[in-house]
Amino acid sequence: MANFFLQGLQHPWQLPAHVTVLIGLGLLLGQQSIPQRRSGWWVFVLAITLGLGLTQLPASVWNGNRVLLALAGVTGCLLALRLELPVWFCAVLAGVGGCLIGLDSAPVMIPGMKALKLYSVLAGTAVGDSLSLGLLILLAAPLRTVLDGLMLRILGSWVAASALMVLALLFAPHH
Amino acid sequence: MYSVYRRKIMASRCMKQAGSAVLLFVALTSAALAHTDVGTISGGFMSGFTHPLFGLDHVVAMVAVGLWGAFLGRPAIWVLPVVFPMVMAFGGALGVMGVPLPGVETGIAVSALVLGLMVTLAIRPPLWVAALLVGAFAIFHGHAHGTELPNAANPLLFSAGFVTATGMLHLMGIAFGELSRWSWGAVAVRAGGAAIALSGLGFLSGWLVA
Repeated sequence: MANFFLQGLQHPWQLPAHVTVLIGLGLLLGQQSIPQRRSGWWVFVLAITLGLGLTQLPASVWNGNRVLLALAGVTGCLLALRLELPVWFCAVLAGVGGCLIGLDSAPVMIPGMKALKLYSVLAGTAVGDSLSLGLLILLAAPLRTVLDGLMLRILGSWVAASALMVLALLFAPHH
Repeated sequence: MYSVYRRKIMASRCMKQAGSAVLLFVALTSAALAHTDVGTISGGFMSGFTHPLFGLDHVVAMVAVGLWGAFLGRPAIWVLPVVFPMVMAFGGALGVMGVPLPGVETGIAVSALVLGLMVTLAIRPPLWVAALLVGAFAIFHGHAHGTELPNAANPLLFSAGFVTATGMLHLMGIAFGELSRWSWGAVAVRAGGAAIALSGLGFLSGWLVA
């Protein structure tokens, strides 16, 4: 059982699109004031739980790479601009991000797999994503005032550039 | 007494062996996952990361961006390294879409020459002019990377790798440019700019191969 939980725990860091969104969102929330950080993290936790729950519905199979990359691009641009965002906006961004990552984290269905094992993977994924986001927020918070937020701005531009270029590739006619 | 001591040693050895076995197990096994591109994570990132580093023309131009930013001071120190990757992404998108851009290699060599000259001659234009100039050159660099992107096993990791490498080169330039706070450092920075400009001239004339 623990093995399945650990598999879920590792899941967010094994998917480049998820890592990009987590980094963009975590650093963006860390760049904001305490109310934005708190509400953003809590909304993310709720949204990812909802998203993971929705993967168990038969009609929820989808490929969210484009939307995830677009979200990463938006968070990267906002980081680079270093705007003071309202609480509701941060909550919406975190909610959309959490829900999309959750929906894109459906575990592999092995025939005969017990429900408890499946729930262990889902729980591991929810915990892994939430802890990762929290850690990124904590890492970014002290950097928000260092050198006028230089590091966070530069990291934001990297996130946006990486995401937007791959988004262009996904929309390219020959792809 | 002796047997108790011996039993403790045996138990300690068993614990060490079990620990080694667990470490070996953890190191040699990987999780079974649904996504097919998982195995290429480090490889994809590293191939993107090394892409700008193998082109000397890219390297000197990236360092020049950071150097000029540091030389101009705030806010250029963060505006230029932020503008560059953002516009580079636009250039990359053009490359990915297959939009032709004439003289990409020439543009990259000119970027090293011009940015190097800016530092050497201590030219301090308004911020928007500096950003425009750097942004214009970023299109050429982005286009060169973007044309490689469709061949990458994992495009997101490849692009994250080369954007990170580009940013690290900017930071190297910024760190070097920070020396200009001291009088001897300012001379060293301007000499660095001259070396970059000369290399740009070398790439343009064909003396140097990128």
